Amino acid sequence: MKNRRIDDVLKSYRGYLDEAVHDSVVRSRKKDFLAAHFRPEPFWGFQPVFLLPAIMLAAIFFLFQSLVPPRLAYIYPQPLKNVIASETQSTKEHGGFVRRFSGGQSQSGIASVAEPLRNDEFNQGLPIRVERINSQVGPTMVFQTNRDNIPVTIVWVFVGG
Amino acid sequence: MRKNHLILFCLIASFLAGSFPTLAADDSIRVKVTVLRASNEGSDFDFDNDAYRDELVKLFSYKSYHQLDVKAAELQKADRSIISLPEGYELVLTYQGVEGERVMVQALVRKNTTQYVYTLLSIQNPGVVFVGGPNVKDGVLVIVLETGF
Repeated sequence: MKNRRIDDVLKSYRGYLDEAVHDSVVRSRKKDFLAAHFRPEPFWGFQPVFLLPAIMLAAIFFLFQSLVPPRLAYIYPQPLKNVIASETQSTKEHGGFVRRFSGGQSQSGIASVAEPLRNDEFNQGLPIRVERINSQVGPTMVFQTNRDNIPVTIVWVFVGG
Repeated sequence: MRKNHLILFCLIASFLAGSFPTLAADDSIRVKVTVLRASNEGSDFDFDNDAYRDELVKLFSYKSYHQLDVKAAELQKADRSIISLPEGYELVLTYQGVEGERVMVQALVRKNTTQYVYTLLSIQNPGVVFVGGPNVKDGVLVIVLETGF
């Protein structure tokens, strides 16, 4: 009997609280208070509970990408292929061959070691071979051609890059 | 015995005499250096050797070429020859010897302590190399290096 009366009091008390909290005026004021003092809730995908595990999984994924079968390799961002400009590049205008070198060390006053050129077949057969070339002021270029059976070699430096 | 010694001495002397000119020729080479200023101002072709005129016109896009200097030098093996160029530039040539049929020449264009161009050339005589690019007033330097002339 006594417990029943206590339960009834608690029930009516809970009902009263429920009406007070869920009152429309109270709810709108609560919403305004939160909007004024707190940032809006982030998109569910960016909430820490989802974002952190996602980042961890991605890190594990990329770190161990070698374990992925080759047929799934396309899903990885592929590293840029090394573009190696060919050392000999024909120039239609002059009918010769140009080799460009990026040289150009800083002007430290210390003599820099000249870069040896690749001893390729092209270089071997020429009457004039440029064995080494270097510059402290900018990139260099070697141009070689054959005009009227006269071998011509030009060594050029582009001052300032 | 004395006759045998004399014959042996003559043989050695003739061998040395025969080889001496070759050795002497390998110890030095003659080079000719022509210094030009190429620019886009004017349209003069002012240099002695017209043989370069066509080459310069075809190879470079400059409008005028002015000869600043012509020098002939005999480079001794492993000895540096310094040729003064305009506006404080220097051309340092070093003859490094012969490799087969080729002469090895080291060419350095510098100004004070700055190396503008350093190159090692292996030339089958005779040969012509144009070295250029350093800036001068109103243009750029073009050095014509001739070997084996």
